[in-house]
Amino acid sequence: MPESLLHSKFLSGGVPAGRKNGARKETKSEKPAKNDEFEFDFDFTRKLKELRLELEIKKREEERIEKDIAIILEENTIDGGEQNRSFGLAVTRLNNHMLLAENSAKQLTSALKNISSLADTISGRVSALDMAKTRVVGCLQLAGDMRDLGVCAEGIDDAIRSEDFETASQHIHRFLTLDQAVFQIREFKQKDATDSIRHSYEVLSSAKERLSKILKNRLTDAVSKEDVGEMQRFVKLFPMIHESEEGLKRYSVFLNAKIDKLAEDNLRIMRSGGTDDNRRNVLYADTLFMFFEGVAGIIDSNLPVLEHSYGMDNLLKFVTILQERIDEFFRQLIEEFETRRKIPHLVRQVEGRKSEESAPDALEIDAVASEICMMNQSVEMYWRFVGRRIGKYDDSPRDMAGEDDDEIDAEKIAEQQRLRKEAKEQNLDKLMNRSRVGTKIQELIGTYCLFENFYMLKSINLAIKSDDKEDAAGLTSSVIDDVVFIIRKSIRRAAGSGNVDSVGATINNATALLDTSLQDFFKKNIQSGYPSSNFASDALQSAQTAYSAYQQGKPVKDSQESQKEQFLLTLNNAAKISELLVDLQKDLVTEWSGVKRPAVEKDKLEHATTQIEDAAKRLALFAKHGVEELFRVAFKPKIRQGAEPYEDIDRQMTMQDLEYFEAHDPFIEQFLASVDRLLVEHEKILFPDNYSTLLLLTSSELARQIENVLQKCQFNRYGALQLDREYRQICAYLTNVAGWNAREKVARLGQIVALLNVETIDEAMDVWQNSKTLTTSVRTLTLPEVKKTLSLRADFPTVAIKALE
Amino acid sequence: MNNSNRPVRLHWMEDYKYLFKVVLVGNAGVGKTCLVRKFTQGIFPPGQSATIGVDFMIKTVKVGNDKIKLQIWDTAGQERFRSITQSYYRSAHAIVLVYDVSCQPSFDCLPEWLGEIESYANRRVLKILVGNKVDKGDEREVPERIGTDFSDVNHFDYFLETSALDATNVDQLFEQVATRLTNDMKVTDERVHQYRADATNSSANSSGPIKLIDRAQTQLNSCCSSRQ
Repeated sequence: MPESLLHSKFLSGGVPAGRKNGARKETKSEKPAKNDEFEFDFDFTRKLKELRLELEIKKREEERIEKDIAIILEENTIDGGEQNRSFGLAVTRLNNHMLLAENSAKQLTSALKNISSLADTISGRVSALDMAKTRVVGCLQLAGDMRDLGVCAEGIDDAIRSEDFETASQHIHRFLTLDQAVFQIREFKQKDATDSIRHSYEVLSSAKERLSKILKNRLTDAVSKEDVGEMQRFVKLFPMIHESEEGLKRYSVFLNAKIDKLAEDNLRIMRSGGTDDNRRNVLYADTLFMFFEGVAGIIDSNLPVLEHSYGMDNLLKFVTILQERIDEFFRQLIEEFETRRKIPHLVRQVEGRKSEESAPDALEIDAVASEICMMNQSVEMYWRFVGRRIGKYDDSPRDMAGEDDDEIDAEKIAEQQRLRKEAKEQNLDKLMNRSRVGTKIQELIGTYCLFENFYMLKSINLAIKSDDKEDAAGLTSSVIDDVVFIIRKSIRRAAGSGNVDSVGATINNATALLDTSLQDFFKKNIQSGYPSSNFASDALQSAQTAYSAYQQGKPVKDSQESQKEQFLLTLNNAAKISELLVDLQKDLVTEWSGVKRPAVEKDKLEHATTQIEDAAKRLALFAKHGVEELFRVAFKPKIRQGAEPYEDIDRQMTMQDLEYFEAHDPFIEQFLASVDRLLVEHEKILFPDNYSTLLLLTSSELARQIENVLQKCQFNRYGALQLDREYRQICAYLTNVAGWNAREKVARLGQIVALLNVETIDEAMDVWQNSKTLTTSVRTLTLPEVKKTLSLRADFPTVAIKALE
Repeated sequence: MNNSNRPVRLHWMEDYKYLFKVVLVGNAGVGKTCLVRKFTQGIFPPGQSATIGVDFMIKTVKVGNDKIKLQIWDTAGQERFRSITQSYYRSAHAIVLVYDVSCQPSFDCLPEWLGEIESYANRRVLKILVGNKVDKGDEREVPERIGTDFSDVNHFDYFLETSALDATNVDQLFEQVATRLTNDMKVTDERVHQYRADATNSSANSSGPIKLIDRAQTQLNSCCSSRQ
């Protein structure tokens, strides 16, 4: 029980350890008190008693406090002294440990120093080893190369002697691809080594010469003997001895001979008139097609051999070599074509087409144009074939170098590939666009565009000349369908040629003809305008007709009637052809959307087709202006006339009037009926588009006339109500015949009616403000207009209206 | 060719006030393609091979606050493409006739080109004469004075000398084209509006068939270019 022991010791000492000072003080204060007692001997007893008592009390108090403290200490401290001692022990232990740790750390440092110097040595050794290894590998490679060289040198003669040229070429190939370092060894002093290398080198060099000579001879022999197997055998070997050009050259002699033969055969057949009499008019195109088919066949059967041993890059070179013979054939063919088909003559005629009699027949031109298109098609087909074969469209990186190339290498490779591709494209462009076939066919396409334009011009003129309204009930005449048919045919033909520029040119020319020839024809027909049919001129007209009929002894159609008919027919034609052209444009777009083309060509075609749409728009506008003219003559006066009776009705009416008018309409029903009669009459003779234009014109004119006449009236509240009723009828009618678009045309009138249908001027202003925020497409009335409108209300004070702001 | 799949009519729908067609013509090798490339792409393509048929580029420029789209047709100068290039004259708003100041023959051919323009192009087309390759300095064969005189005598609307190589006047050339066409078009637009206003305001006594055609013509000319 150390705790209780501890406490009892403190208590027996009287003063606890922590209270020594306090106890001392107490004893000091006691002594002077005793001195006082002895020296003066006063009656301090009482005082003493008191003091003693007090002391006693204090002592007890102290004891109590001590006890309290003891208890508190007991409660709060856990093992005071003991703890101190054990703490001291612990510190010492820790100290010892620390010393130990310090020692260890020092040891570690020195150990590490040791290790690092060791590591340095090791890494030095490793790098030395590495270098050594690289050198060893290099040496091994070199040794291998040298051994190969030796083997090659030994084997080459045997191989050549035994005509095993494949092995021989392999030897030479090995020899040629050897590291140049091998041959530098020649410079070394070690005599026997360099001797053997020099020997091998000389042997192989001479062997290469020999082999090259032999291969060339054998290949030439094979070519002259037309021994395909031998040829293919030898031609494969040339790239091995690094003489691919030679190989290609010799091999293409053979292929060129084949092409020449093919050309000769085809030309012979062509000159004898072809094999099929039905295809005589496309004889030259057919010949060209057959020839290119043949060439493609030749290339196709030989390309795999070449591709395998020569690589893709050399193929274009090869095709370019062949091109020379193809050019020659093409020259002969075109020469024949141009003389037989009298192309220069036709061109001269077409260009100088002012003299109509000497102009060539459209049918003849048509046939030649088709033939040129087919020729171009064949050429394009061949180019596409070549492009495909030499991998123009094949962008996938071939023979990528080693697997562990880092980014820089990849970039370099990409750059190289880009350059290679560019060079290839350039060469291909040179082949396709600058070769004789390329330039000559471009020239022919030019001629074709000229012819196509002429064909369209002639045919459209013919269509105009023979324009006939076949179907009496029809709204349009034959010229429309004919013209669209011709244009469609020409554009399709141009597209069929495969040359996008010719499509562009043909569409340009076609829209030019639509804007000139066709529109001139239309204009001529409506030049005299739409005949107005007032009474006097009617009478005069019929008298004239009767007279001329009498004079000529045959019935003549009423000239005014025919003028009217002509006018309407032209309007309908214009509207209809506009619609047909939009359809044509859409058809062409869908037709061409499936074909894969370069972006530039797509853009060109897109532009070209929008031109058709533009031409259609211009024709639609033409029709619209025509309808406006018709409307001006036949509708406007009648609508104005019809609106006139409006002002005769007194608009300052009573409730009774209003009720009466509900049953007995004074004006509007008759007015609308007369308009309706006019419209119905024209509905059946106008093309739907034109009729809807007419409806909209009627709608706005109707609104304008009503607006005009109501300005002449004075309204009271009931009059305004009647007006509102009338307005609703107009709206209902127009919506019924012309649809919602018509509502927009009468919106202004609606605003006026709303303004008049108010109780007070303030309400009118509210209505006006509201209309400002509501209407979007229609202009709202201006303040002066509002004032003017409100002044029509007889019951509103003029002063108040004037004061409005 | 990523853009080949885009919607067919996309770029006609962009926001611009006017679209003008500009056609470049002139002898082969005077630098038409280089002028166009310099203007549209900012590059001078060295070793440019002869154009085949026609090439076409688009560039939007600003005239005042208006966005103007220039559709530039770069035609081949070689004779064999003549009938294709001729078909582009009629719908052109501006024709830029280019010659090479260091090549007298290219200047001597100008009357021939003018003849083509007169017979195929719109009567009111904007005609611009350009002497290219002024960077050639000593090799110049056609003095500027001669060019100016030719331009004046033959009623060109504008003449300037350019260099596609060092970019002299290239932007100015096309900006002039755009500005002049825009101003012309604005005048026409106003006239059309005037006509429309007349047509709605005046009553029966105003127009006749002749006027009708005129009006149609005016609108035709404007509507083909002012798509908005």
